[in-house]
Amino acid sequence: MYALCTSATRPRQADYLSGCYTAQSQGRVLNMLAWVFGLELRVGYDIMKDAQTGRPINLTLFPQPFPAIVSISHRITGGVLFVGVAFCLYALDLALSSPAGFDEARVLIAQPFSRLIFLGLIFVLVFHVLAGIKHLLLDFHMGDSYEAARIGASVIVVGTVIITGLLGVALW
Amino acid sequence: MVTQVLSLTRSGLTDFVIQRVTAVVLAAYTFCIVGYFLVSDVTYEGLTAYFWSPAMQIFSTAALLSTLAHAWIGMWTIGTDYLRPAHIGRIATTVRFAYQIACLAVMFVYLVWALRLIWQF
Repeated sequence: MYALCTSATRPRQADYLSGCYTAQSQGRVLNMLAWVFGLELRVGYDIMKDAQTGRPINLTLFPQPFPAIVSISHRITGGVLFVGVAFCLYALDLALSSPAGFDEARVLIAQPFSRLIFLGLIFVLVFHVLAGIKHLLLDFHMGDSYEAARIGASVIVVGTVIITGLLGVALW
Repeated sequence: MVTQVLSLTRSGLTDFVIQRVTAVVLAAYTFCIVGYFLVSDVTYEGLTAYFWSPAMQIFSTAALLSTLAHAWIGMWTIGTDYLRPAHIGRIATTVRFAYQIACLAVMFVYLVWALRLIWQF
């Protein structure tokens, strides 16, 4: 399958349809999964190169640099929060329905499993907000040097753990 | 390449600005809600008085609309980055369309559910 990927030009519609470009992506995903699970296994695939400059298109580095992992996590946490809104609306609905429903919501949230879900949601929310603030700062070209990006990514991760811990203690 | 057919405004720049403005609204709302749970002894009477005060009703509605716009742009970005012919082949357009419709359906449920909660109808 990967032998198909010999075209050294920018992908065109024909490349998409022939599966050539798809094979490159599948190779990247397989290698990423192998890296995540700590396997030495890597599959080979030809990297598409720009016809004019010869530079690789969609060059993917594994392991990813730390700031890149934090960056993709911003997107992942956003997707999780979109689903998490349903849990929050459910709890709020129950708590606002009646005094009895309010007590029911208290009992529900105190259960270990739902406590884990909401603590997880708080963790994800704090991460998304901190990464979002960094994103806004980057829009004003604050902290967009390589060193600042590394520091910023560390601040996000450490800050998320600390703030989530403090909120978890304060709320329960 | 995926064209911007189903982005919020069909303009990358407008989507960019909306994404950031709604982010600021949502951050402010988050601080407000978290702050309330931190400083007050939460009871049913207290929570309803706080949540159904006119100021919070308006703020919650702003946050709700911001959530929907922010989520639409974010989920559209995720869809057009990963559900592409380059990643999943020829079925990409069909899969992405189904994904967008699913997102839309979830957002509609959130909209009606939250509006009923906020405005008590």
